[in-house]
Amino acid sequence: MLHRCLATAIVALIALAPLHAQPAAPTDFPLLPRELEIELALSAAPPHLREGAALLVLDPTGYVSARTGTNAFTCVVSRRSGDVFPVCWDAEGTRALLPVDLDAATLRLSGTSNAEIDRQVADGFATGRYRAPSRTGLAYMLSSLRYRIDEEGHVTKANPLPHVMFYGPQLTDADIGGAGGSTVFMNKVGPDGMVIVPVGSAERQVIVDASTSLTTRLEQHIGYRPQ
Amino acid sequence: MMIQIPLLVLLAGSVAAQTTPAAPHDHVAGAGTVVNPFTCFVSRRAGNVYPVCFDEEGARTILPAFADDAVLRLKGASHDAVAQAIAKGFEDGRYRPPARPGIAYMLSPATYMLEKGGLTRSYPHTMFYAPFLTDADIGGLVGRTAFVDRPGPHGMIIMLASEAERAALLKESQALVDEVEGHLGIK
Repeated sequence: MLHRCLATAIVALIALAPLHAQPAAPTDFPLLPRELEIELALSAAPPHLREGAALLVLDPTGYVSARTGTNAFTCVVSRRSGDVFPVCWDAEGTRALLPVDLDAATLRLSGTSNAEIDRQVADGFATGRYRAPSRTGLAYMLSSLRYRIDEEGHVTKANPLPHVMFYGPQLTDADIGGAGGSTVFMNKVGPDGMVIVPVGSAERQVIVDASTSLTTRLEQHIGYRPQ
Repeated sequence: MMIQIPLLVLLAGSVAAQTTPAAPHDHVAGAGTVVNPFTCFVSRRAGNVYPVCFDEEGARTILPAFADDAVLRLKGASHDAVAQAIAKGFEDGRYRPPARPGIAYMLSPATYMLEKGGLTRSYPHTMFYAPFLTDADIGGLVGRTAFVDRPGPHGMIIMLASEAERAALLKESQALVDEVEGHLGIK
């Protein structure tokens, strides 16, 4: 009898083992239902690019292809450092900058801290594992949805700022005549610096209005509660 | 089309706030003091009339072709002859595409493009240097979020000013627009 109970317990433990071997995704790196993730990723692109864009989605070990594309763009829901937003990269951005996000996801999902990931990314640019875009290009971030999730799982929502980003490695606001909050500005200075061009207020409102259902479903999944 | 210098300076300066009108190229009269990287002037390229401000890279690589275009036209060269001379300039290496990403502002509402033999007011916009890129590369659609103008070594991605921005720019520059359109004979 004792042997039978022991055997049953061992079988149960073996059956449960894969669940224990697979750590839960960090709270700042939420897994989403695939359909929701795809809808969110595509919301970054202008409507005429959505049908033909390649798609990546996050599974428990990292990003995987959900479909190949028929145009130059690759859409993904980025989560680096708990900054959750959809973005669609052109071919140059897909080659040069998307790998940073993909590697960061794999590291974070295997338990690496965000600080260590930032260090490895900086090292990757310094050593040539990552590179700045080598030609003019752009990425679309035309969604109004962007959230910050800290390592304790606390979710905050960014003000809607749908925009287009042009690759601007090493450019500064002085170079481009940019100023924060104006029609054009740099998000940062560095190999992955971007010239940000926000859409206008009327265009932004159209995007916000069109995202009502997606916003509700996403906020339920990530646990965002409006104040 | 000759425009008096003070009006020209105003027109060029209307393109981008904080930008001092300046025109260092040999063929264009200099005006104003340079305190930032931008160079502004009123282009007449291809028969159009529009103020534009190039950043340093654009002033180095694109402005010379614009200036030569003006000189050739002032000497009486035809549209086709100017186009051939500019194309030959690229072959000879006299002109080159921008070597780094950059920006040019055309935010003035006093922007006129030649259409069907007449000048028509066009939308204010910002341009990003995009040598040899196409609409397929950037997902461009004319008149929408972004699109490529003149694909080639001096190709540009056009980002139109938003609806609210266009209205504000026009309100701010209405007197200038009226004055320029009076000079150009645009009704």
